[in-house]
Amino acid sequence: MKRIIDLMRIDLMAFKGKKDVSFKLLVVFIIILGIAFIFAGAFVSLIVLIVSIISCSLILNNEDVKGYRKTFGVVPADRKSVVIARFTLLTLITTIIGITAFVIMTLTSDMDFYETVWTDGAYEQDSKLIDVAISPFINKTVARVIFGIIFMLSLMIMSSSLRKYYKNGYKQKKNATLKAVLKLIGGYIGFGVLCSVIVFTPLKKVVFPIISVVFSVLSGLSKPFNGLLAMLLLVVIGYGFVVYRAVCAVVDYEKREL
Amino acid sequence: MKLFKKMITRIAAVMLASGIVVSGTSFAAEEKEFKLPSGVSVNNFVKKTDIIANLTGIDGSNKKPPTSVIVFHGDEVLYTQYEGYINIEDDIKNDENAVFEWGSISKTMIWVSIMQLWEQGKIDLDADIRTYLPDNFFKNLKYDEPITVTDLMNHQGGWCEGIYDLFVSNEEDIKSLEEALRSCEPAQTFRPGEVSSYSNWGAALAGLIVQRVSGIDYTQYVHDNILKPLGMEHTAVSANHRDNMWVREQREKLRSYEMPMLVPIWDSKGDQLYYIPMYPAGAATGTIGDLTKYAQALVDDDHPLFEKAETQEKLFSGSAFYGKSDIPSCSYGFWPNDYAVRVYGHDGGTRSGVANMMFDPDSKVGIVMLTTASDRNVLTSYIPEYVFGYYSGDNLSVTNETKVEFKGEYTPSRSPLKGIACFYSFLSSVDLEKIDGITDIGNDVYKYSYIEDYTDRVTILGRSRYSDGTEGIRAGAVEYIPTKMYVSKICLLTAFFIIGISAIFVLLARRKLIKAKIIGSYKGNHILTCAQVAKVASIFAIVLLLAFTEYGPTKAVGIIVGVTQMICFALCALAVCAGIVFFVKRKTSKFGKICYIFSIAGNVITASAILVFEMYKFWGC
Repeated sequence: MKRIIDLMRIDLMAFKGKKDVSFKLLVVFIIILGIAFIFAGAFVSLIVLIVSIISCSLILNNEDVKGYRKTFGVVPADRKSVVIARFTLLTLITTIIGITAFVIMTLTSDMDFYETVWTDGAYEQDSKLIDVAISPFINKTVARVIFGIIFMLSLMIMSSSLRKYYKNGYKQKKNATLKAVLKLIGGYIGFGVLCSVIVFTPLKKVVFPIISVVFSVLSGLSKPFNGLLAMLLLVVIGYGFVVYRAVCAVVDYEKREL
Repeated sequence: MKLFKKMITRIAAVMLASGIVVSGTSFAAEEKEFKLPSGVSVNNFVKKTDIIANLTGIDGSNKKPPTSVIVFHGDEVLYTQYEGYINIEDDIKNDENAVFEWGSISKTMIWVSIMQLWEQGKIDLDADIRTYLPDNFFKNLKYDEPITVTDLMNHQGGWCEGIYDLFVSNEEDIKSLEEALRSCEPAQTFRPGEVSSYSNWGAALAGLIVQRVSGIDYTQYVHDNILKPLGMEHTAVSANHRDNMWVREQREKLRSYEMPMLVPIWDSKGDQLYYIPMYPAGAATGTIGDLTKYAQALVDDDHPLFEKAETQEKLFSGSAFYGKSDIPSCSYGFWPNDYAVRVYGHDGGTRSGVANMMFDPDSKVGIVMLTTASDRNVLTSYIPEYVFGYYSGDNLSVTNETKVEFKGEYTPSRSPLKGIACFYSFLSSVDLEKIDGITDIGNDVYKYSYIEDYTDRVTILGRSRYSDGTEGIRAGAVEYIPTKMYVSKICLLTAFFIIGISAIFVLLARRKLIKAKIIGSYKGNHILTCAQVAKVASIFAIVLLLAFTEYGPTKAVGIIVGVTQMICFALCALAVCAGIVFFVKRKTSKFGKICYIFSIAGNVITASAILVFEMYKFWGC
């Protein structure tokens, strides 16, 4: 356990050492927070996703590109501990940011902050149209469910990147940005094709009812405590995914020849 | 796109509806033309309704599913519309010979039959129904109180929804009415006469009473006493429609259509020719002309269905009321609906399509609508308002109007409150605290004011006081009853889902570790693994139950789910015992001990949820 904590400290030191990067991260964080305040509660949860992805890429970047990997040459650590430490640290960062975002979201929602911003001046107080348009964002229940979904996605993306890193290592590729953009476009097209296949084939008779059940269970569980139970369910799915990915990463990293 | 289409249709419908209401006054000075209860002249109504009918077909195709609408005034038909194709594939247009399934409108034939037998002195509406049924007919009654015939007509027999095959695809599966009823007796969850809980089973039971009291088969009774006297030659009432072969042949041509999510194209659902074993509750099938004859008879001063005019008057005098008022919530099986006038009728829905019948016994104006398009509700929703106008609530005698504050969750009475699907009643609970606009206007009557489609609307609700001291809300065929132990049960349900989903990750991780030979297989650990697999299977069974039982859980699905949950319960119970033994006897690390504690807790929660929510009880009661 002590070894894992030490390894987490090393990662944190590496993180802290790059003041320029963390400062930029902080600025980005504050800007997003400000935008989120103006728009609505549910957007605050996007910070979790962004910070989680940025922290993950920063730590991995520090290790491989900036040479922090050398640190592990002088620190006695087995591969298993390195992986567990890294997963624990990033999960902790995501969780702390998540809790912060959740508290901000809850407090601002309790203060009716968004309603004041949205309905002040330019809009009529009783405008039904505006009510309908902003209700998903000022509605505590919906905001919490959105938060749960984003938090879950953050954990999933973070843990998948880490697992991929430990399985394949960090590879600097030529035209990495172009390839990333192409991948993104390919992903969109693939998603579109998949949706079309589902919608225009008998597959829809299986997929649509299942989607509808997921929504109906989520909506049923989101009624009590203003969506807290549904959020909890989503968060647990996220953590479950992290545990599974961590186990996979340990196994893959142990197998891999460096 | 579908949403867009819907929006356009709704906005157009609302605009036209507003136009109708406004123009209704501007036409007041016109020549002596008959005006509908909404205040709209017939000519104006026809023009507007034709536009709406065309609007509903925004799907890029000229061939639309069939919708038939008839508006009448006494004997006179004011408006007829045969729109679309009953079979787009075979190019068969909708016309007066098209037959449609009437769904629950069939129930009104049971109620009419009962009133006929009542006026002949053969049935006492206040008698216990056991008088008319075979000895020991009921096996699941919870209360000793008598269930009266009126209770059946008011859907107040106390039965909740159960697990049964409402529709069957094979004619061989159609049993006799008595057998069909005996095979799926639902649980009695409410005291008779106390809670309105719409029940197909209860209505079909009334059909059996008609059969036993009259001494002839129900189908034959309806033919002799309703269809023949009214000249309804194009209607079948039996489960397989073979009591009228012409109807059966016509029915085979009929196709149903739906517009799937995101795709603005009508998709054929095939013939959807299913049979209803409890046929009195929903198997009637016929032409719109016949349905019109039936509706016209119910507003006819010559009372062709009854010997005495008083019987027909009694039929629409109300048998259950909101609170202590004289506003009816049910009228001997017919549902009152307040528009600008009070109308009576019934709607219906089967796997094939939807139907609606409404009439105002005073003005003798009525409307009947039939369609096999699942997305044509716009017609059945808006056209009645064009005919009967909006209800403003102006006629309510309000002494002191106070805002009603509700606390806690309420469950619709027509929920599966017992058996494998009872967990769903917790998921579908309603938090009335969040609903604004409900005021108490005295006499235990609530006025619910809300805005829909930019129009102020009023709906009457009633406060129901139950024998256990709790209070609910009556809304026509359904009541919202306080959900007992809601918070603890919904938390248990959430824990059940969380543990089931976590089990997936545990199993995946375990598989990976075993494959990499990082962990071995300990003696006895198989039980824990089996319990994890069972928990995942339990979740999948729940998804199966909810996803593929659009018309309520069928018996087959019920058995699969129930047996899965039984196995899951047994394995979880075993795993709890194994977990305790391992925790005490095995020498493991602290982490290992924690894992055992989690495993025991997870299994206990899953087993408890299966027990508490009766997920194993596929037999329903």
